[in-house]
Amino acid sequence: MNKRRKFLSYLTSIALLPFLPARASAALRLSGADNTSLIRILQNLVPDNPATRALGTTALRQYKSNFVSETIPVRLFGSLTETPLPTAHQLRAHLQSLCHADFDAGDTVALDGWVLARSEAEVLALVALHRKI
Amino acid sequence: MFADLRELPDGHVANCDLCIIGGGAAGISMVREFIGTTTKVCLIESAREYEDATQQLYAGAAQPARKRARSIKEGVHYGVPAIHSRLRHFGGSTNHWGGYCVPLDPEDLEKHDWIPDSGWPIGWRELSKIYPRAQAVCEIGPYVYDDSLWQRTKTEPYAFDPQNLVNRFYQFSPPTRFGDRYGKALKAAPNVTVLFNANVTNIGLASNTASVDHIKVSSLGGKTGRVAARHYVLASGGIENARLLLASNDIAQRGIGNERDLVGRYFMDHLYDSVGSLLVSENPKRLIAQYAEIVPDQAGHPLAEAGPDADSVMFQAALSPSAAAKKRNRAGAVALFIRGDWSRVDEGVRAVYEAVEREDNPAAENYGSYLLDILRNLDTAGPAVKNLVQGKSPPHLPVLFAIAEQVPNRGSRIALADQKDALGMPRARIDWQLSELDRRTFAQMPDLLAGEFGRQGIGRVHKAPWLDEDALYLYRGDFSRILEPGRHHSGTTRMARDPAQGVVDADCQIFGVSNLSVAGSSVFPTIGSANPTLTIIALALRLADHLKGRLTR
Ligand SMILES: Cc1cc2nc3c(=O)[nH]c(=O)nc-3n(C[C@H](O)[C@H](O)[C@H](O)COP(=O)(O)OP(=O)(O)OC[C@H]3O[C@@H](n4cnc5c(N)ncnc54)[C@H](O)[C@@H]3O)c2cc1C
Repeated sequence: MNKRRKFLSYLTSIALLPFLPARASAALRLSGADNTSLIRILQNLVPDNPATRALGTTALRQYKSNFVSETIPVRLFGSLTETPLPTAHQLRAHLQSLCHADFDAGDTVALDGWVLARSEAEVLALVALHRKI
Repeated sequence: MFADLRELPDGHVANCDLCIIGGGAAGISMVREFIGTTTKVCLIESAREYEDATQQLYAGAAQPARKRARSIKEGVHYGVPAIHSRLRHFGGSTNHWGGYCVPLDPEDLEKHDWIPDSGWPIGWRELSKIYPRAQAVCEIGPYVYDDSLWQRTKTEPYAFDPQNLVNRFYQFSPPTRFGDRYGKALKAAPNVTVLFNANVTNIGLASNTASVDHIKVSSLGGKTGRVAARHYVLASGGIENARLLLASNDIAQRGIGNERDLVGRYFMDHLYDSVGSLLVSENPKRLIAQYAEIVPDQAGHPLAEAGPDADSVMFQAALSPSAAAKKRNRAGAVALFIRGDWSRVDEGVRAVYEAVEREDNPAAENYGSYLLDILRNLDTAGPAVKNLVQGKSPPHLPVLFAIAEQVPNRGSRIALADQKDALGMPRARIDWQLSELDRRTFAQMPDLLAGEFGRQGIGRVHKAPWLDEDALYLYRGDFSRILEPGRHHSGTTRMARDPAQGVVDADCQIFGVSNLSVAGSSVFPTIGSANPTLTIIALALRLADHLKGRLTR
């Protein structure tokens, strides 16, 4: 049931990608060579410490790397626009509401035994991918 | 009055109306009900005080060597030796019980299609009418186990989704040591004789096997005697009740009440283990206030009216899956306690907690409610974080400790061994067997908690490594090796409507034996997650009511 729901929500998020406002010109640049916006977001959201690195590495193993570099940033942050720039506080609130929705839907991921909201796990995977942040 | 078999002439025969075998929680609760009546009661008890030689009578047949280590690789044979899981002297196992009291849930008595052999022959309403009397015997507060207990704790209860998690409340007995507490009243009662140093070694059936004629008793020094009564109640604990019935095989060759090979089967116990740990992201004070012990000493609190003798009654809240969640997960009942040494949190974590607690801290609201925030602030707690990430819970993480139901399982049983005790009785062999359903009962908890704790912003759950799917394959065949049993021996003379399904009927009388009843958790067809003693006492009082009617006829 849980797996099926997860699968459906993945499908939905991928199917909706072409219509997301994030594709508009004012959207954050989240993938490709110029991913400065994404790196800035991650810096604001996630501390670079051994704990997040270890969890991030585990998370990264659970996803295909092109999924992490392309689909995840859009799913997580695609609805944010560049102007005005989201503050750290806004970013956290945004992630928090994604996590709430995940927990409501039973959409959780186990990383090294931690049962996390899917969005949290995905953020950690992104951190691991962009280690240098 | 108190009597001692060692001081009576050898071969002495005592006569009474009601003979109760075993002076523990069940036996003593029953006898008290007859004080001041015209019914002559004889309570047979192994010993007045703890004695090593008597306690040795409780030793089970030798078990394979156990390993204490909890490493997943090595595996751990768990299971407490029979001798250490109960006490054989006046007051029985209440001489070391913890005093946790909680009634069964209504759904614990119902039949569930996913739990084989579930369903009690009596309804919860009937039990709940007697629970208030059992509360008084355990010296706890009024029969209140609902959310009204939060009153005056000055904290707002968490709004868990009732389809997922429900609160479960426990009250604490002082704990009442039944022998010490009620011995005097029994001694003073003219219609009661407590016969000490009398070990029942045989329940003697009449030759037609339809009734008990007498019981045989022996002291360790070699004195023997008999007790003849109109009615007998076996109240010697969940292992011993079965052992005595099976060992009394001189007239009924398979043992008493055992025509269908059910005596000793369906042996159940509660399963104790940690299901994980909790990284608290919100102010832990609220969690502590609600899920740690609370003394409701304020006037007006539902438990403050506990009665003139009672000190303030404590209660503790735990969390359980709702009836809907158990159905969804096709699993049994479980109660979850949040435990931990909150006073010894390490520096890094304390810093986080303090920052969150300080109201004047402008950053407090930004601490948010998720793991990433916590990890951000744990930089100072390097080694602890390392442990945490590697899955070893550092001591400051509150542990999620579960008490889970074992579901009925015909293969799990008490049988007789070849070895004999000092009185020549075959020792009990415990063959404890768990099932995949029992594993599911535990495994449902971390996910339910993670979802609700995450949603509420309480924190994040770390699943105990032993529940990991990949680790569990090691144990599938022998799941019992990693768990600690609760020492709540149950199910071995289960209650049923039909003799094909149980040993005693809904009045706790052994099918086919007109004057022999059983008291204690051995009659429980299922055990829920509730510690058993409150229910044992409620059923003992119900049996006393029933027998009063019969014996005064
Ligand atoms: C360490 C520990 C902690 C516990 N904590 C809790 C708790 O917090 N809450 C809870 O609900 N339950 C708890 N329990 C369980 C509780 O102690 C038992 O449920 C309860 O004592 C059972 O009552 P009983 O009368 O059926 O058996 P017992 O209390 O065991 O009494 C049986 C009596 O029969 C006597 N006897 C046995 N065989 C013979 C014989 N052949 N002849 C004569 N006499 C005999 C024994 O000497 C004993 O006095 C705990 C148990 C243990 C071991």
